[in-house]
Amino acid sequence: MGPDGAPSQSVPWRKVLWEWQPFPDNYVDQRFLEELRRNEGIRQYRYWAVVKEAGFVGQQLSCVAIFITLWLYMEQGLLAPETLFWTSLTCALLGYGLYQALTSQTESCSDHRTHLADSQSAALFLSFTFGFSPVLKTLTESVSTDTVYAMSALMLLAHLVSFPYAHPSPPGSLSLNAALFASVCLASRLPGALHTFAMLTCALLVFALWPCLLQRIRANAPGQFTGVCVGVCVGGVGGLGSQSLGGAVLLSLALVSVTLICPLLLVRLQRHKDNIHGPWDEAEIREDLSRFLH
Amino acid sequence: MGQRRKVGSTNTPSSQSESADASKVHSRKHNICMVSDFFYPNMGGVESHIYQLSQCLIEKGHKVMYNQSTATTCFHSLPLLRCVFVRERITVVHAHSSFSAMAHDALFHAKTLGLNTVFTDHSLFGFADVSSVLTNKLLTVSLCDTNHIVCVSYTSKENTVLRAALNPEIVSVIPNAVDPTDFTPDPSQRPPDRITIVVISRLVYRKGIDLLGGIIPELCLKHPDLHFLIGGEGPKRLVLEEVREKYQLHDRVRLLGALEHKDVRGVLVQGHIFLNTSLTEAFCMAIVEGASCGLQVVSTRVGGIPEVLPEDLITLCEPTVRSLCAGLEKVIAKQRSGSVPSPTSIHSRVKNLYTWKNVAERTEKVYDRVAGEEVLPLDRRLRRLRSHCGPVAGSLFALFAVLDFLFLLLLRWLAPDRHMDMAVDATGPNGLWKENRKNSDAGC
Amino acid sequence: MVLKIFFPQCCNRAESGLLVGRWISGHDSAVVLAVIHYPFIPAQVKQYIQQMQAQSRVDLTVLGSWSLPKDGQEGMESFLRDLSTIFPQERWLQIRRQFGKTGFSCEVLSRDQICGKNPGEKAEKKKKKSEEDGGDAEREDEEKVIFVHYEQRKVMLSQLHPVEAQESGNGSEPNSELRQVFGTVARSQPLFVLDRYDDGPLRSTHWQSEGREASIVVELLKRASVPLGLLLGRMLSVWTWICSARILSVFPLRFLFSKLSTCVQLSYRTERLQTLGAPQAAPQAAAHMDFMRKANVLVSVLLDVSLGVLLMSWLYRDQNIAMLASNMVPAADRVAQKLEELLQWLMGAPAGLKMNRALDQVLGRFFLYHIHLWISYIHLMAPFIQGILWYGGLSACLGLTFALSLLSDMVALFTFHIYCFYVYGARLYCLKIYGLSSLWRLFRGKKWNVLRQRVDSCSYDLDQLFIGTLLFTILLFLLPTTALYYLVFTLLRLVVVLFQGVLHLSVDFINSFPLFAMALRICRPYRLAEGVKFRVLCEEPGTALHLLMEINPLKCSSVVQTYRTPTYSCYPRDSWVALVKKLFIGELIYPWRHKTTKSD
Repeated sequence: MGPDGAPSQSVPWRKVLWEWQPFPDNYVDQRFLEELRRNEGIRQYRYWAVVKEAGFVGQQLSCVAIFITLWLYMEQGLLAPETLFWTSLTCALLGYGLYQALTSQTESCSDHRTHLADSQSAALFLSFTFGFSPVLKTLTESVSTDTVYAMSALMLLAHLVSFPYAHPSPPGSLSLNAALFASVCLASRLPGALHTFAMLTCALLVFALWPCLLQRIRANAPGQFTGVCVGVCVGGVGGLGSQSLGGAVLLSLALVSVTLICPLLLVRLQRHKDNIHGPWDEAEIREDLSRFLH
Repeated sequence: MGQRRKVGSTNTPSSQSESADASKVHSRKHNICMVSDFFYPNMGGVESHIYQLSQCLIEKGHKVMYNQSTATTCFHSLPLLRCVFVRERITVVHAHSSFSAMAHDALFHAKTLGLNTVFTDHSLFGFADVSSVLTNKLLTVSLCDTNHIVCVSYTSKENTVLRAALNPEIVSVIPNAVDPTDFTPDPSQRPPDRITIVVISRLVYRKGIDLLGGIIPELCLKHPDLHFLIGGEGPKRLVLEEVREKYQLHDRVRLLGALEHKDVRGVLVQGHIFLNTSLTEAFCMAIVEGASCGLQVVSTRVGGIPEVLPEDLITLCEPTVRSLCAGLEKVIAKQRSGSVPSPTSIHSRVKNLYTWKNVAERTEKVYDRVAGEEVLPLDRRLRRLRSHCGPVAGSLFALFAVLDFLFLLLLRWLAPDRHMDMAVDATGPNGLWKENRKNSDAGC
Repeated sequence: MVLKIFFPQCCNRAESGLLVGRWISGHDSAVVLAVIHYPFIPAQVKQYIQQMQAQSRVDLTVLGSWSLPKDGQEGMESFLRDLSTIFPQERWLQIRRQFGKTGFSCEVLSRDQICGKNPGEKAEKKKKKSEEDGGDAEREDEEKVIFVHYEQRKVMLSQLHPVEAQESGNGSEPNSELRQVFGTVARSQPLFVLDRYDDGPLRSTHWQSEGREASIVVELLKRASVPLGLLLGRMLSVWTWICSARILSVFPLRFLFSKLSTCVQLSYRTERLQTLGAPQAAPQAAAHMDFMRKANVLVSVLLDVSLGVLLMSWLYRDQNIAMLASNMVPAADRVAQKLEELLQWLMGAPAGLKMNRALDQVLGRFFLYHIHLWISYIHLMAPFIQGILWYGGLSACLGLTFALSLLSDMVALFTFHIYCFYVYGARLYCLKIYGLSSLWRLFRGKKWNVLRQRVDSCSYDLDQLFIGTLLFTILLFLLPTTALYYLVFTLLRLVVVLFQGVLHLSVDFINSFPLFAMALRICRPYRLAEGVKFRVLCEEPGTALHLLMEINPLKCSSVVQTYRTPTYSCYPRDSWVALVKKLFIGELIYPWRHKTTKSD
């Protein structure tokens, strides 16, 4: 059965509504669904490129592990707070130099911050942390250790989940705050005020400044980026391994699954994708419209 | 599919005879029940569609009544709907909008009660995300034994056929309409020293308000005499306010907030250009209203929009800031050089394109066709559900259908149909009141 | 149309004569007020009615005739009909009653029927016929009549209240029929009073007052109360003059007065007494309200003073005051000791809660020192307490409310330390909550936009984030300690506020309860009417419908609502949810709230 009373095909059917056409309302033309497309604009992932991108996730995981390792060392008294502090400071200065070096090659004029502002910020961090460290030390005294550990774990997890891996510089406020909260909780369990101070300085370095530097490396020296990531991952596994073997095994398993297995799954599953597209699809806004706002 | 064909073939003679004999198309009057979650007093596309269509159908002598509800669950609405259908002697149930839970309920229960159903789809859906997968499955089940589906544009028809896995021949395309007398041009309202761009839509993501937030600074920096007039309310109002603040455009971008339907014309006639930035649209009434008021229309090329207006009345752009700005610039340049047709000429071209009378006539044909069709008995309905909707959902809803049927039997036992008092036609052309008045007039 | 005739019950057995009353304008109804008996001289009747009209401002007319035929008065009927030509009216009622029948019969003659004798007679014949048929056969110009019987005395004395519950629009409409009936009867009081001694040229039947002796006593009392009232008025004016002196309205004093409930009660009482002396309001309804208000105030003041005197007689017997005073200081000591124990408990690990030890110690010592200060102050005061109580007790002779207010003030003064603790705790807690809420926004990368009153997204600098998180952590860990102190002191404060609230409520109750109106409602329910109900008296087929109008008394709740004397309401007006919310965010409750509304 055809549609009701299809007339002679002398007039071609047009896909317009504003014109009366000699076809019934339920007429089905040959051109019906001709604009249907499948799997349009699908991205073909290459395995190693995806692995390289996933490396950022892996190194962030290792950063958390390194921080926990340092804290364990401090708690057991194996690491003197002075040592940690001076090492952190040296690292920070070295990193700052590297950052500046990488910046000067490309876009020094677009960055508004002066060296004076940077040093002001640094002074502010140090003085506030130093001033508050006695308060912070007594802060969680009466709270049970398990509660503090649970809270820190939760917050570190929140840090990892909410970390803006695509644009890590500056780090997102929720992820940074969660990480700092966790480090304050952990640092307050340490034996002395100076320990707390050193631990917080270290936390600032690991969670706030390191992602900025890494992003700069990723943007300006992509060749070194892979190496740095691998280095951090190895450092994390090794450090944790010196304290607890089980932890190191777990971490390496997590790293392998995040950087190697997940990308493999992504690439494999792409084959089974079957997406229908057509004029009815909701248009996507691909541009970055936030530039009009900020 | 086989059954569908059988049903179709038994009815071909009647439908042919009806279409052949154009003079006696309205041989029979229907009692139609419109079902949707949306109705007066909140006005939107669906609401005004139902309202205007009902008015025209009542004028033609059908009896239309209307059902609306907000929170319903599957079975709880059956007693209510049954009561309405039986009391009003409904012959055709017409459900609107796939967003409406009550519309789906009504389609399902109407089949249990043995009534013919029609469904009008007003919106487009994608296929990509989880929510649309679920909605599409529900639509497949709902429309599985619906007699006829009406879509508002060809794109919408393609979309619905794909979503609900339908035979395209039971899907008719009947566009929406605009009352041209409500939207007449009035060039004297336009301020002479500026060019005004009017945007009237809900301020939500689907309407592309983020794009608008990019267009406004781009164009306002280039054209110092450009003004924006934005009507509507929604969560994306924040974006526009922030843009306005950042670029200091308080005197040039006016946010009017939510508009009553009757105030829309007063806003439209103040502008030169009507801008629509929707990201998806089945049939855009707003651009027809804008054109009817004599404005130059600039719109995104999405959904059914390209089908709505002839090419010389609309400038279609891609849904990006750059493309829309280019389109707008072209129209602004034309406006400045004075090479645009006059508002009155645009109005006279648009005013006959989409009329409610036409819509009502075409809908009536659908009713005539549907009224002759056979309603599947329960066993065949179950078989059809199982074969058409997949093994899991099909079986589940087949179970629902059985339960629904049992519930209906219980209701019939509790309150038999013959004990329900029938409603009397009070108003309408053949209404009781009118006849009474006629008699009394004759008596005097 | 149905013609309604409101007929007084006392005229049921009156001798034949003329009906005096009023047509209700705008409605098809008439009120019969009295029957003037035969024999009379028409000119005298006219003169009398004019006189009454002038006195009562009711447009009285002769409505028609009334006949209750006794033996040997057969000719009366035609005579009464002839009267209609003497008293020209639009319509003329002829009401007849026969012995042995309960119902009346009525004829309505319009003017043209009266003038043209013939048509009138014809109409009358028709009417008679119609009455025999039960009154529904013919309806060209015939009107159905309904008799509504009413008790004249009750209707005259009662005050009809508008029905508020259903529709205030219709209820308050001034021209409703029932309202006019009530108004007419109430205003035509001179009609009933005038021929008290029956020596006029006319004899009439209507309601007559019976207790004349009692009214004489009332009159004498009125006379006697004039000089007493004058004296009281003079004293009152002196007192108001003192109160309005400039020196009392200087800022600190006025603030103090508004906080001390005794002073508030004093000013309230003065204001009430002033209204007693105010001139009477002119319109009738307003006059009624005015009278009721004054009576309520007077009765409640009298009750208050008598209760106060009772209290005083108990206080000054058997050294009760000395006993109270000697118990006062140990009680205060005990309270302080309990508070100290509470603080010691808080400074440990109360209920196993994990408090920050350092902050806990600081707060605890601060409050302990405060209690120490307070105790030394109480001991300093100890010798004077008996004297204060003795003189304070004298205030009871002004009324129980004064004694209660004084008690409330004293409680407020004696629990000042609790109030202080509460304020410190609340301020600290409030500060913490505000800090935490804004830092929590920073934690999520949001900020509060003051101009737009909304939360905006914001990108903070690294150092801002760092310091914000540091402060947030500190505040979060210190919050439980502060919150616990706040909770404990708020509970203490709430106990005191509850006690004071009960005192204030009872004072308010005595001040505002409409005792007089309530007594009137109980003893004379018909005086305050809410509406009427009708009962069918008899419905014989031959006669018109007879209804008995009974007065619905006003409901007790609406009596209280209507006649409640407005008072200063000192108790908080916000809802329970708002109160809980305030407590949660640490805003100060009760006394400060009062102040802000005052300053507005």
